[in-house]
Amino acid sequence: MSVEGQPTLSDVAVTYDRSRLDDICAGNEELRKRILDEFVRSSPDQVRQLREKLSINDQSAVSHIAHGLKGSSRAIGANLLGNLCEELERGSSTQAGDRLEGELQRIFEAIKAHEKGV
Amino acid sequence: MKILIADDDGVTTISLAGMLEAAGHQVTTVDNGLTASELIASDGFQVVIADWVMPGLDGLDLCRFIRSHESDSYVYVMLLTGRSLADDRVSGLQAGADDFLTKPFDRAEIFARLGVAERILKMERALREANRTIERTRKYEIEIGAHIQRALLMAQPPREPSAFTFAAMNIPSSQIDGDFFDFFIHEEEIVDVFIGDAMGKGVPAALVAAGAKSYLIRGFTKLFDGRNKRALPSPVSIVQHAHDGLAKEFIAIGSFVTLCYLRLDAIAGEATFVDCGHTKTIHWDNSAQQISTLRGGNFPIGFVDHETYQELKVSLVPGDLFCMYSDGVTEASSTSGELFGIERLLGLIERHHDEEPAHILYRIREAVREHTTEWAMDDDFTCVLIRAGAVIKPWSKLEAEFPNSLSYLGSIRRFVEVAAEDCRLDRRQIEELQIAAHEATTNAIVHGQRNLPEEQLRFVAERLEDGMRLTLVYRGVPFEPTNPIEIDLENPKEGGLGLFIIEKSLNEVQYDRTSDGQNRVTMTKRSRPDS
Repeated sequence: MSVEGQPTLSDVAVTYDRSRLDDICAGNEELRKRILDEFVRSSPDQVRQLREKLSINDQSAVSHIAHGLKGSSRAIGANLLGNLCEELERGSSTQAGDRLEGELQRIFEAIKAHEKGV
Repeated sequence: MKILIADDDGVTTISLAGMLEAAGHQVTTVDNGLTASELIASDGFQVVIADWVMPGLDGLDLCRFIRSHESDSYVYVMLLTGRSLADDRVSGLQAGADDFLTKPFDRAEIFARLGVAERILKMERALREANRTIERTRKYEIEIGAHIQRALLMAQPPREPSAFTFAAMNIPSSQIDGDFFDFFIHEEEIVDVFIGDAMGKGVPAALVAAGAKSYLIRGFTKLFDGRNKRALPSPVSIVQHAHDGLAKEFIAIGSFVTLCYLRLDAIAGEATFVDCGHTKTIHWDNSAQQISTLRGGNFPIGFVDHETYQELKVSLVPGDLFCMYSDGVTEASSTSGELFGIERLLGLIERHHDEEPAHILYRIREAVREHTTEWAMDDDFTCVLIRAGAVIKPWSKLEAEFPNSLSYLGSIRRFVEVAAEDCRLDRRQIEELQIAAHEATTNAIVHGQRNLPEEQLRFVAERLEDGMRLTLVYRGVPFEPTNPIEIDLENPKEGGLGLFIIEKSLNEVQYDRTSDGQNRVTMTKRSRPDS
């Protein structure tokens, strides 16, 4: 929640919207697997880099990395992570960084629960 | 379609590529703008989908790169972006983007937008093909126009004996103009000369000019009373006949022809002219020793429906000189935009009025070439000179420069011919000198100045007691033939066949260097073979 008590973008988004990839892949399970594999492979490193740049307050690097992770998150329907990244990209939230690892973990669990073979 | 995706985000790239490949497109992916630019330059992609934010070259830079490089076909660029602000989109469009895909993208939207791309590319291909067809047709028309111009519109100066000496030259521009001229020698002492210019350029202008010329000849034939050969139809009646026959047709097609029709009558001692809005004919009056222009006041042929033409007369004495020319001479423009102008032309003719017409013509040509720096004019260079009576002052030396190009060999041969005709050489000797000049010039262009396309070829013709000496000076690789010349028939090109021809065509040939280090070929042709 924000300091004013209003919900932020992150609060109203879902962790993993499976219908997003349904639209993209149109039944192509092989493509679906490749996309999720890539996300699972690349996102932990992006989160690690984000945390590192946040710790040294390098906003330019934070914006750049957050922009990339925002795109890939939203591409698979991980909208809450995407919104956290957007806040970091804009520099409008100081708490969003602390929620990254937890959110990523929840996404992975959701993927595991919903997808086969990822 | 052949599509290139440039995005450093693997998830986006795999998603997009997977979708497009499944739809049958041929997709290549790269993760940075620089690699994308290298592939675009060589691989002929029809569509490029580029992320806005990329390392190295970003999406906007990539757009600018694509638009700044010539390509055989149009490249449709879609920027992939999370940006939705109007300012961002304006930046993208200004950089050369055709469309935007917003992240996260929607399958239906992507294919709808690719459908637009496909439609635009198809129209663009059709447009390019139509342009190519138009260009091919245009080139073909120019060839036809050039042929019409050479074959029908320009005439060779008369060679039969007369009381006049003639010189004429037409150097076509890159386009076809409607310049034309012709000569009729009625008797040794009476000659008609006309020069005209049809409005516009290209085949239409050439056809209009051909029509005008045909009407002038037809008019003369119709009006000429064969029973009284001394009663020539007047110039004004011939011009009036052409106008009356053509005016309605020319007005209907929005064209007209400027013309100057000149009759020189050495028996009556008068020059009669009809000026129909053409560039003013220059007249050197040898009795008054002064130069002027012949001014009439009529409209061009076909400019107005009803026009009554007037003819004017000036006196004619031996030594008088007339110069008829197209606006391609006086309107030849320097690199700074300054026109050659009538004053320069008047000055040249006044200074050299006592030289032979062919040489005055070369002086005019050289002066215009020097003024324009390079011989790349928008209009034809057309100029006709007529001298009444004998040549007053023979020339001793004639100089000319030509561009370092094989396409000028014809002009060079003509230069040699014009000079050699005054040097007591017979036709065969002139042709041999032309052959030698042709071979030596080819050597200079192909070997000497091969890597110096901007250089010139300088010729000096000197009149000798018994022939002519022609000197060719050029830069570049020096040429020193072995002596004696032997022909290698197995490899004639490299074996000195050209040199052999030069040697056999001349009385003397010498290869050396000028004091400033240029290559010089001195070719001497004598009227008596044993001299």
